[in-house]
Amino acid sequence: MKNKLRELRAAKEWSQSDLADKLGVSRQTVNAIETEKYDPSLPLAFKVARLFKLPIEEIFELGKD
Amino acid sequence: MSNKPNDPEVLLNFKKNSQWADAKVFMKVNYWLFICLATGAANALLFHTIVPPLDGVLREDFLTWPVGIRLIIESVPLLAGLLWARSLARFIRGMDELHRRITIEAWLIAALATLGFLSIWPLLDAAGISASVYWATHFHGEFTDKPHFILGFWLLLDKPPSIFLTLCLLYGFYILGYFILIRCYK
Repeated sequence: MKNKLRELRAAKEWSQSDLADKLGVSRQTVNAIETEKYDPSLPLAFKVARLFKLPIEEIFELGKD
Repeated sequence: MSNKPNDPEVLLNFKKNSQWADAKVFMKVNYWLFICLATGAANALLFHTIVPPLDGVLREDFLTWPVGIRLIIESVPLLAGLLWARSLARFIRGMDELHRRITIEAWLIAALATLGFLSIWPLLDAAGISASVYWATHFHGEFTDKPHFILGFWLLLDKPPSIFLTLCLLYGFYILGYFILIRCYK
């Protein structure tokens, strides 16, 4: 699953640790999501969307596969 | 209230900037594990003969004790092990979703690997591996029934498998599994 988390975080000038603290997850999880190695759960995806005040589908995009 | 999820690397105590708070969490989670290991090792030393060819067999004088007392003594490590599993489960529940997934997978790998090892251990033992380790951990291969400072190696390969051996294997396989799985997300 593709996502725009890195761009959104950079726009807010937050570090991965800042974002991790805001989401209540570890920095490693934020990094894994940004590098698309890990797909977040639905509750976490909602948290991200709420934090950036965007709909989920604008942040996460389901790939063709 | 802290929003920080539990960090699984606190359990492994390999963090670069390990702090006193981490050590406290480590002790809190593993408190029952240490009791389990200590009582398991004490039981093995006090109530089991650990000298071939009778290793792992209950001492004759211990067998004369009332069965209830023997049962209580032998089940203390098991109860401590169950309490450890409970505190570990609580700690895992407090992790974030990625770490929780990795940790559960690592424990599953560890449990299956331990089960596999314990299943093939009698075969390895029959093939003479156990005796080789026993002689290799004693001075010049001389037979002695006195406790040795590296007796721990022999206790690890005790037969029948003790709770001490089981937990050491479990933790060892967990560390291995965790580092294999976390590597993908580094």
